[in-house]
Parts: sequence; structure tokens; C-alpha cells
Amino acid sequence: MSATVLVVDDEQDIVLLCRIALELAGFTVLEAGSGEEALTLLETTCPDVMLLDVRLPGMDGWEVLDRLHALPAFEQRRIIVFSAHKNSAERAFEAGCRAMIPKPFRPDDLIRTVRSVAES
Amino acid sequence: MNQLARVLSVVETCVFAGVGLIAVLRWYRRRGATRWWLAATFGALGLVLVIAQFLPPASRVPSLWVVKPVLALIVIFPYCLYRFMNSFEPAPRWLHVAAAGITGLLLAATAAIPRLPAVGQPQPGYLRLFALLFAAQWILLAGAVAVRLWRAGKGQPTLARRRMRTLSAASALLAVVAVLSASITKHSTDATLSGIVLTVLAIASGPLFLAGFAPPQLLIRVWRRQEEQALQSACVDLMSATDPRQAVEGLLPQLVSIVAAQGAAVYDGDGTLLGAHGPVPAEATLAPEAGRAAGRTFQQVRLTFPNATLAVWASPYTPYFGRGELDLLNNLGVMASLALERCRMFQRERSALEALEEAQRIARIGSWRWVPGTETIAWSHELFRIHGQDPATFRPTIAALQEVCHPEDRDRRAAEIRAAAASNTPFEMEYRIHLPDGRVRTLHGLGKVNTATGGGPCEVIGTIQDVTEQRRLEAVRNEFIANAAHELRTPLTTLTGMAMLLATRRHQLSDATLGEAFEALGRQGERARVLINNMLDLSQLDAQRIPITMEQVPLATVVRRAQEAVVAPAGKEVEISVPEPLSALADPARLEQVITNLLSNAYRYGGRHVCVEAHRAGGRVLLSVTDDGPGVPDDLVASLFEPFTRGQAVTGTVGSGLGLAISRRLVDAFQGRMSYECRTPHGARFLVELQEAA
Repeated sequence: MSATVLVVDDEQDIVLLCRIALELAGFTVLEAGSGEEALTLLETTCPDVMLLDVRLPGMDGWEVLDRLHALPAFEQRRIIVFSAHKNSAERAFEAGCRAMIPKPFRPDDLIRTVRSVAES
Repeated sequence: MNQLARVLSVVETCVFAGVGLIAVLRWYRRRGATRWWLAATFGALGLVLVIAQFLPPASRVPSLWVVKPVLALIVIFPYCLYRFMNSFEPAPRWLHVAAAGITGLLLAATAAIPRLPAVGQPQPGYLRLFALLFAAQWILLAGAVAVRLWRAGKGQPTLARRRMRTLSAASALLAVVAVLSASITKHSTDATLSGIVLTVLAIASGPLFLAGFAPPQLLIRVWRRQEEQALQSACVDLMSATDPRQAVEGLLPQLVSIVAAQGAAVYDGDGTLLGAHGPVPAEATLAPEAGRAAGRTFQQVRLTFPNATLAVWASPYTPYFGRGELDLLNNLGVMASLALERCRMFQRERSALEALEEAQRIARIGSWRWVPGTETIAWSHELFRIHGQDPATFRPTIAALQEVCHPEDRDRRAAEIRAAAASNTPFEMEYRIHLPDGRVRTLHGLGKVNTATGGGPCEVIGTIQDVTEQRRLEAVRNEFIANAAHELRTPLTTLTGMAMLLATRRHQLSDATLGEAFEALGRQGERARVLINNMLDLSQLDAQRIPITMEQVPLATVVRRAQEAVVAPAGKEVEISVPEPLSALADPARLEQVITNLLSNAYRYGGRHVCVEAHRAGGRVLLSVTDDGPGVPDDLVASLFEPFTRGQAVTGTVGSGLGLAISRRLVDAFQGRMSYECRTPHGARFLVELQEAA
């Protein structure tokens, strides 16, 4: 069974790019346009990997991470953060993230990172 | 008795010969009409008395050839004295005619004396007439001199007044002696006694004359005490003055009182009037040297110094009788000249200091100096301003400065200062301070350690600049760059990512996915283009490099064009209420850009209903774009017109985050105003206020 990846980004075209690239690599892709939408989705599904943009309108990525902390299943989640700022890598790892992908990224790098997190 | 008379006669001769000699010598040394007439007066008198010593004894009748020149000299004496007096101030014409007439008549009469009566014989009638005429001449001329000198002495400084009045008294005394001498009968005991009394009186007049025209130093000192006090007082005032006008204002009244002048003025080196006191004639110019003002004759005395000219409008008697006072004035003038130079140096220093303070205020840079081992640091005014402290109450000590320093910067700042002091090297540091009102300022300091001959630090000097605004602008710029980079990441990620996928995996993608990918490429390409154009617009607007052509713009037309440029998405209702004839002053293309931006924002973030409305309001034109959406979130209102402030789009693509920032700057360039207001119960209204076209 293929791994499921949840992509959380308010930029529709970034979500589209991730979907095309990850589906080509054999992943099943779930999409969310905001933090709130992602949390709602997580109540019913349990993706293997989550790609999370930290700059989201309304509830931002950091807040989503804080909320996920409170969920008991969080340890099993594999979260990769899209970050605009390289210096937020530290904060991402402190928050329990496994990896970080800086924008702009190449589809190959995205697939490689998602795959390594999904297989770990 | 005769022996006494003889001795007194010799004394009299000696006295007047001495007085005559002194008068002649004074004329010889200094010349001038006044001194000439004085020399002539006393020269004649001295000569008469010397010749008289060689005349035969009273028992013999002297030769007419000897008597006549002596008589002529005696006649000339009062006339010369009168001319001396006249050299100051011309006498009335009648007196002038009478003086010349009576003197001429007496000289003629002297020449006409046929013979002298023998010893013991009564005086013939013509001699009695001659004596009468002689007495009249002396009374008229010596009396006129006495009266006029006495009166002119009024209002003169003490020394001049006393000299003039002493001369007046001496003239009167000599006139009395002469008249009495001419009237007493000779060859009797009474006559000898009277002669002795008259000789004593005549002798007494000698020192009086001398005190009048050549007073001894002792007398000068006693008579001048009052003026010298005024001089000392003036000197004190001069030495304490720091401003040229203040110096001159303090000096002039003293100056006027020292020479009892009518007025006085001080001019600087290039002839500009620095100050005047009293009724200075002819509008205080340096031109008139003598004339009449306020019914009095005046004489201008001008004293020139390296950087000042002192002009005094004194009485005509001042140059002669007030010569000593003019010397005092000269001394005072030298001191005034020095004091003025000192004041100018003060002023130069003060204006240099003011210019420095002004420069420091403009640049927001203050300077300081600290001597190691002392507690207080010397601050320039600007440093007090930068620190928000009052120079009257705040003492800039090392401890006080450590106290105002931001807690996070305290240790670093102290360590940097210690390191600089230890290494004696120039230093540079940046730290924040707390102002008394709680605000925080960022300061940039430069310093230098000056070493003493021994090598140790003798002083530390430096500057402190308030760089709060620069640092804020740098932060804004950095944030702008970071925001711009962030905004470019999304289109760039999509463009490069999609391009790579399409290049290598195109055959694995369905047609539908391919279609989506190409649409995304087009969208993000367009987004990057708009973003870059907007950034260029913004940078050019900030640098005021966008050409703005102001003209009369019909609002209805420009709104219509904007409406065509940005097509309303399905489901949006647009209501336009702009009166046809309404025009505003703006750049038409740029105003269209503003309205297009407001419309696209309303479509993107607003509700279903959008309204564009315009009307006239107090000489201005008010255009508004209103929607019934959720309105701008409260946390965004404050930075609404800042670059990269962006809300959550309801529909369609996101904007560049620069549209409102550009629009606000464009409206500013039209000399208009752009603002936002929240609409009740919900919705956003953007207002554009423009100048109405005439």
C-alpha cells in the first residue's frame, strides 16, 4: 500500500506541484489550504507524512505544530516543514519535525525527502 | 616803601615775563590761532614789564620814543586777550567792531601824544582823555573776556570749567588793576601804597592766568577727580562687556560726561554706527566737523583706533581747555577698541559654538569628553537631547550612563569601553538606551583615547549619533527584501518545479494534469511579472522618479476604464455612481491604476456587492470603493498601506501585497489623500480624496 502524504499550503499551485510530483513517485496525496483545514482532516485520517508550510494565513504552521503536540498520535506523524526562512530549521526540529524543505525546491528533492521520512 | 614797591615791581616783571615765556613756548610747540593770541597777549605784557624795568626812575621824565611803544603794547594786550577768547567762538559783530575801533583809536592816540608833563606838573587834558579811553578799552575787552569765559564754563567738565573761570577771574582782576593804575595820581605816599596794592593784585593775576592756560599737574589731578572716577567706571563696564552693543551702550554716557559733550557715537572699523548717545547731529554720520545743533555751537572731535572710531560732539572750548580730557578719551578709546575686539572674539566664538550645536542637532550627533579618574563626562547639548535629559538636572556620570543603557547591551558596552581604554585604540560601538519616557533609542558611538606624554590615557573623546531612524529604515528595508524574496519563492518554485516535471515526466502525466500544470505555469509567470512590475513601481515612487502628469481627469471615464481592465468575477454585483461632469486633478493612467487596484481588492477580499461612488466635498473630490465583505482584519488595519500586507483572499489568486502601498503613494503624488474605513455592520471602504479640477 502506498504511503499517504498530506500537503498543507495556502498556495494552490504549490499544492498542485507537490501532488503531481508525489503521485508520480507513487504516493497518495491529501490536500489542505489552511491550518484549520489540516487539523479537521487529521481528525479522520492519519497520513504517513505531512508537508506543512509555516506561513499560513490565520492559524500558521507553528500553531498547527503546537496543536499536534497535544494529540497522542503525534509521535508517529512524520512532518516536513516548508519554510521560507532557513533559520527556522532549528525551531522546526525543536517542534519535533523530521525534515525541512526550503522554498524554492526541486521536485526530485521533495520526493527524496518525503521518501526518506516515509521509510524511516 | 619805595624799596618794597621796587621789589614788587621786579617780582611782577618776573611773573609776567615767565607767563609770557610759557605762553610763547606753548604756541611754539603746538601752534594754532588760540595759542598764537595767547602768546601775543602775554608776550606783550611780559615785554612791557621788562621794558619798564629799564625806564628811568620816577623823578625823571622818560623819552616819548620809549613810552609810546610801551603804551602801544599795553593797548594791544586786552585786544590780544579778546582775540584769544574770540578764537573759540566768534563774538557778536558789535563787540568785534567796538574792540577793533577802540583799540585802533587808542593806538592812534598813543602815536599822537605830543609830550609828557614834567615831574610834579599836573596831567594835561589830552593825557586824562587818553587814560579814560584806556580804562574804557580794558573794561570793554578784558570784561568781555571775563564774562564770556565765565559763561562758557557752564556745562564744561570740571577741569575745563575751572580753567576757564580762573582765566575769567584773572582777566577781570587785571582789568581792575589796569583801570585803577590809570586813574591814580602819582608822586604821593598814597599813590605809592596804592601802587603796591595794585602790583600785588597784578602779581596774583599771573598764577591765575597760568592756572587757566597751563595748569600744573597737581591742580589737574585735583580738578579732574570726578572725571577720572567716570573713566574708571567706564573701564570696568568695558572689561565686563561681552557684546559690542552692550559695551558701547555702557561706554557712551561715561564718555559724554568726561568731556561734557553734547553727544557721542562709536563706529566700527568699516564706519557702521555701533551706538550713539545724546543729540548727535546730522543723523550720526561722521561728516560734520563743526556746526550748530540744538542752539549750541559744537566741535566734532574724532578719535580713530584700529577697529573703532569714536566721535564726540563737544563744545568749541573742548579742544583747548579739555585737552587733558581728550587724552583721557583717547585712553578710553584704546580700551574700547580692545574691548570691542574682545567682544567680537566672544561673538565669533559664540557663533562658532552655535553653528557647531546646530550642526550637531541636524546630524543628531553629540560629542563628549572624559578625563580618566573623574566621574562626570562633558557632554555637548545634543547629547542631552539625544538622551532626552535636561542639562540642568541630569549629570552624565559613568554610572548614570550605565543606568540608561538597555539592560541587554549594558555588559557588552562596558566591556568594549574597558577594552578600548586598556588598548588605547579608537573604538566604535552600538547600543540602545532607555529615554525617561520609556522609548528606546539606538546610538552609534565613536571614540578615541588621547595619551599623555607618559603614555597613559589623558582623555577620551568621542561622538554619539542617534541612529534609531537609520536602523528602523534598515529594518524596514531588510523586511521588504525578505518579503519580496518570499513572494518570489512561490512563483519560482512552481515555475522551475513544473518545468522540471514537464521536461522529464511529461509522458507519465494525464492530459488533465498537463492542463493543470500549464495553467499553473501561466498563473505563476503572470504573478512574478506583476510582482516585479509592482516592486519597480514602488521603488520608483519612493525615489519620486515616476513621472506624474497632472491633468483634469473625468472620473466617470476613468472608473469605466478600470472596470473594463479588471473583469468582475461571476456572482459579483458592481454599482457605479459617479456623476458624468465630475473631474479631479490627477495623472489619468495612474488614477486608473489606483481604481483598478481597489476594484480587484474588492473582488478578491470583499463581499458580493461592490460600489464605486464619487461626489464633491468642500472643494475636493471624494471617490470611494466599498464592499460588503468581512472588511480588513483589525490586526492588518495599522499596516494596511505598508508593502506586503495582505489579507486572506476569498476568491481567485493572491495579490502581490504591494497594490495598496503603490496606490497610497500615487494618491500622495496627486496631492490627495487615501484612507480606509471599516463599514458597519461589515465591509471595507477605501476613500480617495483628490483636488477638484477647476
